[in-house]
Amino acid sequence: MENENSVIYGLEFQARALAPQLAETEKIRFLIGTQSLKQTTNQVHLVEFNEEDSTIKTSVFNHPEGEIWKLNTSPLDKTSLATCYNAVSNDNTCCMKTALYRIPQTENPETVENLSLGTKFETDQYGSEIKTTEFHPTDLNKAVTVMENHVVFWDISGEEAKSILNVQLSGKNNPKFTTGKWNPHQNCNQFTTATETHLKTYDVRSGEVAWNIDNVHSQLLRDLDYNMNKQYHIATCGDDGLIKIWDFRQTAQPVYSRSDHSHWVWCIRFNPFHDQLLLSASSDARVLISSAASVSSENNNDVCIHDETETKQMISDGPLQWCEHEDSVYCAEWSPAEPWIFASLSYDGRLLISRVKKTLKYQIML
Amino acid sequence: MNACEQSESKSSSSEEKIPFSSSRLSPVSSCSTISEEEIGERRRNRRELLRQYYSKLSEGLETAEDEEGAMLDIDSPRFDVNAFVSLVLKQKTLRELIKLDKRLVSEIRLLDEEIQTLIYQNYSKFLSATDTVRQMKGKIEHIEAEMSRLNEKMIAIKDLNSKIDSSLAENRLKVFRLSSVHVLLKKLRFLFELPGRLKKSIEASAYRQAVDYYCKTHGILLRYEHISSFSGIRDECQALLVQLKDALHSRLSYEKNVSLSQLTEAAELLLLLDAPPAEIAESYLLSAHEAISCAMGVLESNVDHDPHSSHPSLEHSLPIIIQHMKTLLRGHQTLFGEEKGEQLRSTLGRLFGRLLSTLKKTILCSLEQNPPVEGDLLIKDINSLYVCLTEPDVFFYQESWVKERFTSFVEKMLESIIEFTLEGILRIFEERIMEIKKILLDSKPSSKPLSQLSDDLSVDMKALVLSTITLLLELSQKDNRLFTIRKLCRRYYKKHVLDHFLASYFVKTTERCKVLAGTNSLTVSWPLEGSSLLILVLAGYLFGLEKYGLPFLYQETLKRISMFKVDATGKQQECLAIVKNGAQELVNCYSRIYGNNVSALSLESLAAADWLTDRPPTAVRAATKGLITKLSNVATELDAFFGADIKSSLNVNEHRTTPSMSLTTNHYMQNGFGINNNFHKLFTDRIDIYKNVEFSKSSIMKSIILVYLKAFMEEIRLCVLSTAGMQQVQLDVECLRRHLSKFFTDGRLLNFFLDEILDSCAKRCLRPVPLEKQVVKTLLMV
Repeated sequence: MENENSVIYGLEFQARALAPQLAETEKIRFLIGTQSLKQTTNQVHLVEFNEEDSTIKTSVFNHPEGEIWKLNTSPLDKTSLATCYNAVSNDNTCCMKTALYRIPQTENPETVENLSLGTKFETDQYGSEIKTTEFHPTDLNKAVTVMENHVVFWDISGEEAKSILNVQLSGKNNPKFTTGKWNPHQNCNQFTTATETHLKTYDVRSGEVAWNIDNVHSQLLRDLDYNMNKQYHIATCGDDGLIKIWDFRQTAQPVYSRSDHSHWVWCIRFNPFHDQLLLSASSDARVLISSAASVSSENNNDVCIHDETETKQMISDGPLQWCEHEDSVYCAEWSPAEPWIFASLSYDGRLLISRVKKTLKYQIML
Repeated sequence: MNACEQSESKSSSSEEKIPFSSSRLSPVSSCSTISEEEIGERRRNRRELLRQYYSKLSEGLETAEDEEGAMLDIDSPRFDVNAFVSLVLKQKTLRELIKLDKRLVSEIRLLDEEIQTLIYQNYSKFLSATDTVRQMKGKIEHIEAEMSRLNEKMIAIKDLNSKIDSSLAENRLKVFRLSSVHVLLKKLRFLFELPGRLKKSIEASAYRQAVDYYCKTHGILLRYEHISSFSGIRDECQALLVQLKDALHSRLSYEKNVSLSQLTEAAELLLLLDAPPAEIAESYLLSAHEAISCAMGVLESNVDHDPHSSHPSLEHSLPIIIQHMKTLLRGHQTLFGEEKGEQLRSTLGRLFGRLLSTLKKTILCSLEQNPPVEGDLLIKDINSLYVCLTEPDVFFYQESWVKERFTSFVEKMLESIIEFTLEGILRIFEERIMEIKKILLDSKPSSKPLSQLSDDLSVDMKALVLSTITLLLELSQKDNRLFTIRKLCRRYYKKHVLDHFLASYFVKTTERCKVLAGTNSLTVSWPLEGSSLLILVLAGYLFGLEKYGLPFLYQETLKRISMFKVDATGKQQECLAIVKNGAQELVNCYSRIYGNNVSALSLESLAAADWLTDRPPTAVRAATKGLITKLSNVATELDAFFGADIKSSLNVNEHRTTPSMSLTTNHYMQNGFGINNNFHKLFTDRIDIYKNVEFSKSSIMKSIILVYLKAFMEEIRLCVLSTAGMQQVQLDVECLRRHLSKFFTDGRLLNFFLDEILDSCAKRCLRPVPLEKQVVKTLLMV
């Protein structure tokens, strides 16, 4: 719909890993990991967006270990990031790995430095498909890796990660995990995973299933995200092209469901500040901001007595703003520093940093 | 007419002019000599001026002028001859005087003649008058004597009269006395007999008579209470009165077999006997309620025993109960006015409610009967209720609550009737669909395309709905009074038949279609066979409904009720949209189910394959072949539905030539990564994979294939392939290209997607070296 607000940053390589620098709350920074089978050419780009003059400053770091499938940043440590990568050996075999890296302090922007290795993970025993490594939201020393059919909790204080807890998924047809996320509420004691069409949440203290929702989507469940402002709400998306929000206390029906995308939805994110804004990325090459105002924390009509001053008109649910790409979009992220900025990365290596439409912004703020 | 005095005026002289009031003696003024002409002229002017002056003056000094004028006016009684003559002599010229004289003479002569004729005319009258006067003078003298004689006689008569009167007075007094004694005796006798009469009346239950007696005698008895015999009677009467009151009370406090009119009478009599109205009103209401509910109870038990509409007992009881209620209302109102009005209304309300619920029960039971009872039978009871309510008078019906409850009841009943009719139709619809399902499952190859099934269904349902609507409309046209309420009739057509029945039919069939097609359960398992065709049949039905059925049915219905200018465009559009959406949803569902199923199969096989293999491909993977077979199966299924003939005729324009492979096989190698490819995409239209599908074979097929290809591409992007793996994909893609192109009228779309796959595949390959096109060709031949 509106692209005048966007700034494009093109990469030479294909990419499907994008992460905001979570610990950075001053500057608008995103990290991109490239996906190229040529070992030496994979990079991590740190993109800093200057909102005032709409310019982009980038630093590039080499990631020589392999093509990056997934990138995560620590919410506590600005320099720390985790990648899941595919290492190809010389004899044309490849294997998935994950590791923690530190972003070096660059003095010289001309030279491309390597990322310095932080913590290594020994994952061979658990399986070859590594989906994601997620930092603990509040504990600097904890992380979790989601693999084929394992969720492994690590102590990452040392150079070698130590496995604390290992949850294994079993069942017929060899079910696999797709992705996973910490529940930022309830003292971060829960970790939610997506497997096939189901949501499964484990209590990290016991390794038991805390709760689960089956058949969240009719086809593969691709991604999920917690609402930072509403502790029982979780957004999901999947191959049926639907975006849903679930209240996991009542799992029979989603509280919100939309089908505005015309293909699989790969990524879904609540805006951390204004949770009525829902960002989704789809392989129909579009990024969408939808309104979920009816179930957002802003909609508290049913909770408190209607206040005279609160006559603000609620935005109706549905699509609000589209961003067009030329190829499938696998990632889209809100900036943790600025609530009205988001980035989306399409497979052709193009990063769009966009603003929420002004009219929409004022509508929400005023 | 002072003719006699006029002779004097002959002596005349000429001097100054005088205003003559007499009309006949108008002032004459003319000059005496010709030499004096000028002077005459001047005089005239002067005279004119003077006249003006005097006329003005005369207004101010009227009395003086009058006096003077009267003296000079010949006609005036105060006419002074001397003054006149001297004045005339002074003022007039000789010639004028002569003229005046002549005129006066002639006028006098005229007047004389007039007097003469007058005298002649009246002469005889004068004569007779004098005669009469003379006679009267003679007779008057006798009258006095006669009068005095008369007077004497009158006095004599008077004396005689008083004498007779006094002599008879004594007797008359006696007679008077006797007759009054007689009356008194009669009264006394009545009084003495009173207790007996009262008793008899009470015994005979002639309460009204008793109360009548009592009321008449009550005053007297009270007056003569001090006389012992009277007080005895009074006591006796009081005792009887208590008895009477008891009897009335007991009648009022409901005995069996007491009619409502008797109740009313009892209440009325008790009121006459000075019972407290509030109390009476209350017990009257209670008993009346009892009486009516007794009748109602009988009806209810009869109906309960065998509930069906136009129950004979209903026919019998309905008028009676309503009559009772009317009697109660009228009786209460005349007896008590607004006393306990609330209670009256609530009692009647309760009773009426019971009656309505009984009616409702019969109607609902009849509705549930199998086969359902005819509509006009159903509303027969309502109709007769309406007749009872409004005939012979409408005072009961005009009570606002009665009208309200009755209308809402009718409303509800009509709603139920419509609801049941609708349910029936939907049941038939479902049965038809079950039959169709069976036919589909048997699936013997038939010559007819299966879309015929949709058409048949459409035709049948259309006829059924139309005939039902006709029946529903006939309901109102049959001879019944109910629908003479024009408002109700209009409402019935608009709200019930049009908005409720017809609109609901469309909405509900759409819903049923969706449910039957299973679009709600999103996980439809693979072997769809029968049910997938069912989706198509249902979609076909809905599309037909949207295009022909719905407009036709609306048009027909509106035509039938054209006397009420009902506008249903809004609702019609609404239904149209619902039906259309439903149909679209079904087609989308069909293509998506197949698309997703095909892609799921493909993804499974992709995940299972070893893409890092060293062995170069020797043939198209079995899975891909399987997919092609599956897709052709779908095509066959679609053919079965849409008809193969139609398909071939549709696809005449399709160029079936396999796209030139040379162009595409090496395409992706030249592109490499990046810019070229993006340019290529920039100029391509956006392709929505999940989008609305047209209801045609080619559109559905295309949609399925696109869903599959897109999934294929996304999955390849998640793989890592060896050279051999890539070549295998290449081989599969070319195989797909060869087999799928027949489903596309325009090969570009297919080629675009296949090239995308190859492109993605090359990018995910460790060392991308494609197969030579010749090799591909050869391998495809195998």
